[in-house]
Amino acid sequence: MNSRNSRIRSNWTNYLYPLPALLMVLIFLITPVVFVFYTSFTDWDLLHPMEFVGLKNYVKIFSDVNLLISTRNTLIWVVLILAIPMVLGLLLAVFINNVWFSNKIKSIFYIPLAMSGAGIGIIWRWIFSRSGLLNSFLVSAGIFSEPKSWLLNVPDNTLAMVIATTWQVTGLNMVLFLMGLQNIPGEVLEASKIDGASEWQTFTRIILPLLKPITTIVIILNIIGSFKVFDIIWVMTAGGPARSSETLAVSMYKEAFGLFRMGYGSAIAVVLSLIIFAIGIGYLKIVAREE
Amino acid sequence: MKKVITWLITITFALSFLFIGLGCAQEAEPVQETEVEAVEQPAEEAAEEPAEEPATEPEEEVAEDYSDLGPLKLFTDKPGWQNGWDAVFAGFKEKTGIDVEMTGYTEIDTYTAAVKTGISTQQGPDVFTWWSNYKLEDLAKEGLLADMESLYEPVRDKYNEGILESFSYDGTVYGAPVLVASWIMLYNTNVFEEQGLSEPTNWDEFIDVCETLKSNGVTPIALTISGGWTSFFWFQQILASNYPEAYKAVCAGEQSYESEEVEQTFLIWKDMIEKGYFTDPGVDLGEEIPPMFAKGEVAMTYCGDWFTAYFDQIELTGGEDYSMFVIPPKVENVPKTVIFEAGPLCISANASNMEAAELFVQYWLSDEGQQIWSETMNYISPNADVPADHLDSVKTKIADDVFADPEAQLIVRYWEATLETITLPACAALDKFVLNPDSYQDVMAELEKLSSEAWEEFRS
Repeated sequence: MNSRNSRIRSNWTNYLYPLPALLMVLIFLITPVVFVFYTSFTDWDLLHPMEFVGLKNYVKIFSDVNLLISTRNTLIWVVLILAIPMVLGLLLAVFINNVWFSNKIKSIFYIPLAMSGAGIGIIWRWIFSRSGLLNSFLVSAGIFSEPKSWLLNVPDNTLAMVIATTWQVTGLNMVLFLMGLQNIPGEVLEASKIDGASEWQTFTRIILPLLKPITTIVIILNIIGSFKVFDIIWVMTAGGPARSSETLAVSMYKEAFGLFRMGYGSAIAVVLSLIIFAIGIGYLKIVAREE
Repeated sequence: MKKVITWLITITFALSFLFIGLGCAQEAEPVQETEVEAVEQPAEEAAEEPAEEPATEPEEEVAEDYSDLGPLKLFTDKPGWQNGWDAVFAGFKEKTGIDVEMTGYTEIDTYTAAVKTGISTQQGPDVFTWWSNYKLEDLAKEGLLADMESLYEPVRDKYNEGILESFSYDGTVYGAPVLVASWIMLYNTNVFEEQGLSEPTNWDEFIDVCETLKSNGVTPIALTISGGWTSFFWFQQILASNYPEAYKAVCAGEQSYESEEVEQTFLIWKDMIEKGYFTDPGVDLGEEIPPMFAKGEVAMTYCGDWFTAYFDQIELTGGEDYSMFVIPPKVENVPKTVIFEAGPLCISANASNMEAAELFVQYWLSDEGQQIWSETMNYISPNADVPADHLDSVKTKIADDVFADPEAQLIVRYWEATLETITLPACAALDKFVLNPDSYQDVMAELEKLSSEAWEEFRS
């Protein structure tokens, strides 16, 4: 009997261990998600009581010209982030994997990831500002006769911010690809050499296919990251000038905290989350089918 | 396993995105908190300079020890004015024994959200800095601000009615002035001297000044659209100085942005841009314009007179290195019109320490409080009994040419003169004009659409 009681007590206490984590998830993740979803059906402005407006905010999303520009900019971000930091991360990983001092230098590329997006935005805003590092160099080298306002011109401003983001996330991509590369069995590579495969053939026909699982994760992380990007844009251009560099995440913040249209901002957040969710599921289905 | 990891990553990021919005509000980290300890305050300061026209009623004396009321919570979006705050808090502490706990925010959106959510409960600030006119009206009509009529009673005749009006809603005053600034043209006196220029008194002279500067390789005027809120500067100036009544009507939603006066405003501005009178609009207001001005690369800059604080930081001296003039109108026979902004200090109707809040505002409005603030901040006090002899010659000139000039008509800055839902989107539209002046008709149509929708929503 005693042993039974002690077993029950033991089982019961086992359930207590994950409780703090579950409570944290409930309070800080589930509750806000439910609250944002609920708010998206209201016209809340922080001052007046919430009033239910049905699907009005969702209908407005599809007729808002500014959101059209934000959507276009977000898609440009997705393409550029997949094209630049991801490819750069892969190339760096391949390079580092083949040098004896890889352990010493890989952390250098990882350092920017440890910095906050706002901090990175401040650094790169200064670099691209009219009196910043880039203009000083270009003018003193005689390439430009006078400084250029990089952050004021379309599409220079978006490219400048993509460069800043590339500096931040390339290290993560590199580390992930490096993990994948180090898990490729040495015998496979050796066999390809014996069979007379060139470096390029080994890379395209053996390494890349074997890296597919890790590539999947990197692609998903980069797509989600581009949809979420906010801090660097906010610090470098605040979406301007004339909302030209605004992405959906910036529009969501501006509507909610600039114009205090909490309901509309929440509706944008919900739609964005659904897009991200759909992309994730779609991509997983494709991968599953191929496997 | 790989699939499970990928699923988990997708779900976590998608969910985390959903609450970015809330996260942003919750991350509203105050940049500093100050609890001011009692410091010695020279006794003569309080009694200094007898008023030229003594008030009819003696000023109400604050009792000596109210420390049992507990500390006062003050929120501000102007934490950079730390010296001024510290000096006033110290004076208040000496007078009442009450500590002031200040929370400063540097990000306007975060600050606005923190105040709006805070004052609907007793957890928010007791006292906070805010904006005048429509921005104040938003809070006042919801009953979120405490009536200040009784606090003004002993000092009412010392304050300009026009300023108090900008802090009023439905005939009741809800704010005490923290900042009263005029929008004037600041110019580099050394550059003017080198080019043999003097302050223009009419539009033709002003254009001559610009032409002379430009032909001698100096950019006449600094123009910026950086930060997303600065493009209204020249729109408000040209419209208000040439068509003051139209400016008021446009801001109040009673006249179209597609009217003749607004079109003329854009045409004047467009002409100035095309003649090369302005800098590249990419220059930063606080970081780049002051050094350019100091080096003589740009000769003039138009802003609120608080901008001189940037010049102080780079050790320019008012009166020696720079001075000011009121930009003359192009249209003839228009009264002298100057834009002004007035920032109030408000008391939350739900203040948890209402008594301390009222004592603080009483102290703030008093000659002593205003004297300390004015001396520390080098600002012109709106309290007529506070002497201006400590101000530099530029500030004295502003006091004489703007606030003391009976002919000068003061008009509220665009930022406060119109609805909050119009100002930011309007700045984005004005950005488009600055980048492409030929687009002015499209910009006018966009502004009109914005305005009519916002006013319709406001009135409903």
